[in-house]
Amino acid sequence: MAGLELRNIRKSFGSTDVLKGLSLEIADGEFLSLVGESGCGKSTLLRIISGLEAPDSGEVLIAGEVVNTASPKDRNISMVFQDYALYPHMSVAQNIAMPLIMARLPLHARLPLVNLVSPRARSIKPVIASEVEAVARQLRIEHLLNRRPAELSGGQRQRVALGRALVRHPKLFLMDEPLSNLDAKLRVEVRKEITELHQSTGYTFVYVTHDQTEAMTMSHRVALLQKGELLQLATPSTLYADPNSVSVARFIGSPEINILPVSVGAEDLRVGTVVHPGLAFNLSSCVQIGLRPEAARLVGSQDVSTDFKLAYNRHLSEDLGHEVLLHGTLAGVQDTPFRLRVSQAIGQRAVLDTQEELFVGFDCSDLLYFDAQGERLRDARFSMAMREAAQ
Amino acid sequence: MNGDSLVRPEWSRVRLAYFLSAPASFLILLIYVLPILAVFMISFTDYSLVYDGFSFVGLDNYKQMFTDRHFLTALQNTLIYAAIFIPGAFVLPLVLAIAIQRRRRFRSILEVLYFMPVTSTLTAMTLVWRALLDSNQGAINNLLVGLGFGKVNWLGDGDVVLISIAMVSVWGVIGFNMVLFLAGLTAIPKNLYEAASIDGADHPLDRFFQVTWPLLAPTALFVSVNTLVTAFKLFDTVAVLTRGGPDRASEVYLYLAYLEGFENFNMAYACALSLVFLTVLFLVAWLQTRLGDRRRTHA
Repeated sequence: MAGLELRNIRKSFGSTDVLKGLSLEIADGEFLSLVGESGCGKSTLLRIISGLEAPDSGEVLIAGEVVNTASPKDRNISMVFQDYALYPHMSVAQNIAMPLIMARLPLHARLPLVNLVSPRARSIKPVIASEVEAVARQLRIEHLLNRRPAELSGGQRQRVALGRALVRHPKLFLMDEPLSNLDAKLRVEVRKEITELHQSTGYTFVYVTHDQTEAMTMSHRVALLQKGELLQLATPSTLYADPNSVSVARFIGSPEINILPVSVGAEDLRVGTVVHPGLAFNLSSCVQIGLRPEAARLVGSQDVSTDFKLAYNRHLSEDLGHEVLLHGTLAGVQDTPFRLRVSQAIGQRAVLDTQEELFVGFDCSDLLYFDAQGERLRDARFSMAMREAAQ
Repeated sequence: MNGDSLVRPEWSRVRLAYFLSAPASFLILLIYVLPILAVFMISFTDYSLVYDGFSFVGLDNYKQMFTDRHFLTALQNTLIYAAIFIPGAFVLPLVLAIAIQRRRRFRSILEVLYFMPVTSTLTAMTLVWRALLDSNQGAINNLLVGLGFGKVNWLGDGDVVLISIAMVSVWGVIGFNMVLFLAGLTAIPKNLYEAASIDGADHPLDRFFQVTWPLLAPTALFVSVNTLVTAFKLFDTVAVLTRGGPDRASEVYLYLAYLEGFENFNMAYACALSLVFLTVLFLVAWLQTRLGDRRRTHA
């Protein structure tokens, strides 16, 4: 059964269409990231899932039930906010206990003063306290239970927010850029912890981020959004290797993919100064190609083993130790930057250090083909593979 | 020109500082400190506006308060008035602020409407209220009769008059307190309400008691102390509406001090009354800062 299903969700604010008919399905226990640049609608989508915002049309299903009209509390979801939204006047323990108190105590027993004398409140409070303690132990914040949020560091507040979300055992765990307020080192640490948390709890996670690294490292599948539309929903490796469009290819991967203009003849493909003949498939609509910075390699001036070999004009090199990142242009395509990752491991570094003049080589099978609209021309590559297999 | 001459000698800078702060210090001395000292001195004499000369009488003026029937009546009236005024002047603006804050349309119009009494001259407005509250031709009584109720002797009935005055005062202060509450409400982060609604606190009472009220506490403290001081400072409404009547039923503390000083010419006794009043206000202000400080260190 699907943990969460969205059917044709639309939402506009005024004249701005934020979500333009978005559908997706998340399996029970899956970790799905919603990724996209700011303004792509990912946060709005999360708020619609949570019930904080209502869609203009479309259906939200949690565990197979349409919850469009249900209030956030009736959806049995948890949400971690970007700035944590901890209650500043409550201790850590009270913050974490809040969802349980709301769920288990009747309204009158929650009111101030009454809650001190209500027998119901008095009998339930120890139970809640022990559950809060268990969650705090799990997150290693049990020594902070009596503190106020203002007395905590960013990472500790983050954990309190996680605790408040965990304590109620939600059907759906929503996170809105929870790591963006942490420093780089802590971010890597908490990233790992959230992944572990997902594995140990088995809850369905929906995670919103603009950071592709977070999305790629943590999730089972990534939904890439742009301007209110779902560009592609796939596993991180599929998104990287087999993107549907130039936009996806550009967004995923760092350093960014190289996109080069090409011209296609009847049976040949021209990249920069080089024409590769003998293409036995129809590429007539192809106007640009994508090439990952690590898919191309440096070749010797006499090397003819690759389909394409172009002179490389290096502008800048960044030595990262394990690899060198080159910025430059290819002969014949001076307007388009071309990034190249030269790996230490496969002896490419030696070429870089010894040769004055650099040549970049790549094969047709390394290329991703796109049409003028940026749509991927898949059968081109498929045909290519077929042709190679046939030879 | 060397670098040393750019730095003024220490004594010269000190002198400049005193010179610059002298006018303000002089005015504070003249307008606040000296009169308070004068009042303090006079309160130990039998000075009166109508006789030249005076002699020291020690604590007699203060002792007189405990035996003065009018003093006890005034104190009682002030407390009754405060008990009616303070809740009204606190709760009504709070409710209005919460109601107005959620509105998008008409919000600024409503804010202006409620704030208008604050900007107008209270004495002039009180005259209007006197006409409205008139027991025979007043619009309010006409309305009551029209609705089938009996007339109320708003300003002439000793049991009602303090309520009437409190009503007028509340009307005058609603806008001010509401703006204070609105400022406090605006400072509450919106995502706390969202977190609360996800945590299950989406009932209006829960929203109020779990989020709004605790986060509004500093504002609420300020408003309540401010309102308390305003309650005890009641004077002009009484002076215009009732002159302390009927039969001293609306004679409040400051009005009594005024009567003693400027009608009965017991200036020394009036000074003693004022000093007691000042001391009480000082204590309240001190308590407020103490509470405010404690809150800040706890946050």
